[in-house]
Amino acid sequence: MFASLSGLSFITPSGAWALATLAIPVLIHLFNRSRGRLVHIGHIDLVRKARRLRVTELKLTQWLLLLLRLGILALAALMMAGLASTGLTATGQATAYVTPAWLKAATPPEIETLLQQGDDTRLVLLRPGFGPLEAGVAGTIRRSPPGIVDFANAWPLLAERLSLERHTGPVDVYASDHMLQFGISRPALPRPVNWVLNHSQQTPEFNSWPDKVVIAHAPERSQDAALFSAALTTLKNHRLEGLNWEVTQSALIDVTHLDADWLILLSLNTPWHGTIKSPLTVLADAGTRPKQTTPLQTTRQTMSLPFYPYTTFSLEQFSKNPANTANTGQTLMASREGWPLLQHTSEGSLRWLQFNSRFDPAWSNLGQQVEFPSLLLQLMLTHEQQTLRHGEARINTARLSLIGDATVTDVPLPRRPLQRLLAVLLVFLWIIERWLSERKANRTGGAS
Amino acid sequence: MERFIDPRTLARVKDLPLIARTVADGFLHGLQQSHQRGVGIEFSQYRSYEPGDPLSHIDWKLFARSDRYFVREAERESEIAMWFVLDASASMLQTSGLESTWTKFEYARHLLATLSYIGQKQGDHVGMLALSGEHQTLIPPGNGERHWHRMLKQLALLQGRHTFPDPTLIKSAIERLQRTSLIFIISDFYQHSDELLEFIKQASTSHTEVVAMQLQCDDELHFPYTGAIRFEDLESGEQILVSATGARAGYLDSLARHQRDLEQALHRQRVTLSRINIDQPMDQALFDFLNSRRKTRR
Repeated sequence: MFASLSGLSFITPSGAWALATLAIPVLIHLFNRSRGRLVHIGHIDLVRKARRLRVTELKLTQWLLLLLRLGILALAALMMAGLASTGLTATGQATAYVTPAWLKAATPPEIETLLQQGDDTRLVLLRPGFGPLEAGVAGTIRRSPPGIVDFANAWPLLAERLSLERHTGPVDVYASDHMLQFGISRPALPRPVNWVLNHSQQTPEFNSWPDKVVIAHAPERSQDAALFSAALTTLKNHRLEGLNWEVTQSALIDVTHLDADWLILLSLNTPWHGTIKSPLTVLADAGTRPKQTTPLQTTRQTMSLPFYPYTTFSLEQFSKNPANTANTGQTLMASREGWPLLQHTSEGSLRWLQFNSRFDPAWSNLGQQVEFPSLLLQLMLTHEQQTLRHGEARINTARLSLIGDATVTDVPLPRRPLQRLLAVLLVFLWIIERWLSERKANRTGGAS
Repeated sequence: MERFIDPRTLARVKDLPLIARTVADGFLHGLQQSHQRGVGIEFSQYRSYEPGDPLSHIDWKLFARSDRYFVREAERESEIAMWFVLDASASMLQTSGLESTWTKFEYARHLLATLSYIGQKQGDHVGMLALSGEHQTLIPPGNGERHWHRMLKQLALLQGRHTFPDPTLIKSAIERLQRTSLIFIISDFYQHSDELLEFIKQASTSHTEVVAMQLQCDDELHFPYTGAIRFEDLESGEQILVSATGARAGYLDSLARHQRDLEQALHRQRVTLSRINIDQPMDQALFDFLNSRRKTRR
């Protein structure tokens, strides 16, 4: 038990103060040993001849009783402190954990190479049960229809496994770069691992997502531009790894030669009058274009996104209202009172999105709100694109460690309380202590 | 048995003469009731006063009753001194547990006071020799209550300490005992190198009779201890830790052997050994002792 002391922890560390009670039997022992019962006798020769009888045994018994009583109190204190183990088993062998997604994406030679390592390395399939990876299992997984192995909880399984088993040897994890295999919950891993990633097939839509944004702003709107830039940074970290953007003055923009998918325009002056390179989506602030001021009939939809650092948030998205498309465009969002907040207009290949922030003070500081990046994401991607994007999200290998760290860190590691084991040990020691104590009392006539 | 006085009761009374008188009077009263006069050390009779008799010998109480002068007269014409040799070594401080405050030494003091009271009451000369290390307290034999009080005063000053002295160092004192006398030796008879036996040997002559009174206590006889006991020798201070229950049998064997050896050694010197338990009533012990002497004489 004490060999793996580093794997032990306390559920209630304050209970460890009870270990101070260990001093009690020690003090009693020292007190009894130093004092004893003193009897004056007239002629000690009479006692000396009988002295050899069991004094050694008596001392030995006293020491044993002291140790037993210390053990009992220590066990009781450890029980109070809630001693728990984070790893009951230990292995020094090299271990490779393989996700089913890796098996699906890997080529047969890659699988063959991995299986050949089985002589030196323990191959464990990273799914509930942690069965050994064998050729038959690998074949079955490879032949399974798409989608079955894609959705899994490989990350929490890995975390649990690494917590419950102490690995003193190297640990490799074979996974695809498919985000779905890791599941939603990603507790911190108790030890570093070597990642071996292969690339799963990419969907064609992958390349259709925007990857170049220009933020053009008037000099007085540089602060807003910074907010947009921060929101795009968040999107790049968590959703759109390929996203790039630049911030520039709106007066310097040459729209006719603008090489971008998106233009975020934070200026009242439209920087072009003629031909533009298309397709281009322009996100503009209020004032640039005419506004729809008619209140709208709306329905509400609460949205939530997985993998987002802000685990819960809601965004009231107002459904498109076909009745309002006649005039200047389509109202994408409106206030609760029905005032249009975001309008959409299409002019050929030009897509025009406009915030009417002046109608609602809460929206004037939109960029500072935590929901803003997700709002941007919704504007940049269609609903279908978002679904596909989340489903097919790839792991950014360079940021793999960050993924684990980025999860909520106070998720408790799985621990196994040792109360039952301690209780059995305590009862066992207590029985021995009672037996020894009674035996000593009988043989010494009642003295303890 | 109920007429005997519990030693714990006596122990609470600090007045040595009072205790001695109480025990002795009760004891003598018992003798008269049972018509056992003469079993004592000595007894006296009365005769009419004759010119020349010392005035101190007149029994004034009898004079008050009868209006005639009577003089107490010892039966024995030859004067025999009663010597009390008290072992005042530290081992005599042994006691039985905490309930009783009697030590052997205190008991011995009271026993000596009582015996000497009886002796002087009957007109005998009593003397005392207390021995403790190199220190010796000697009260030459004398008679009368004043002498007895003087002896008790010295007795009260004595303390149990050191060991019993080597007899070669107290030759002059022993020589005084060698005259016609009855010698009581009150001791626990624990000795390191037969010094007590040697003392008796030197004191025993054809003119002396030696009576050995060995004081013992309940704890010493029965070894009632349990558990780990740290025994400390009263004289040497040596300590020994013992598992008492385990050591009991061995102790009792050693004690029995010691008692047997002592009996045999004293018997060879024609010394009567009388064992007295200090945890038993003193007057009962006296009664038993004098009774056994009476039987021995007959």
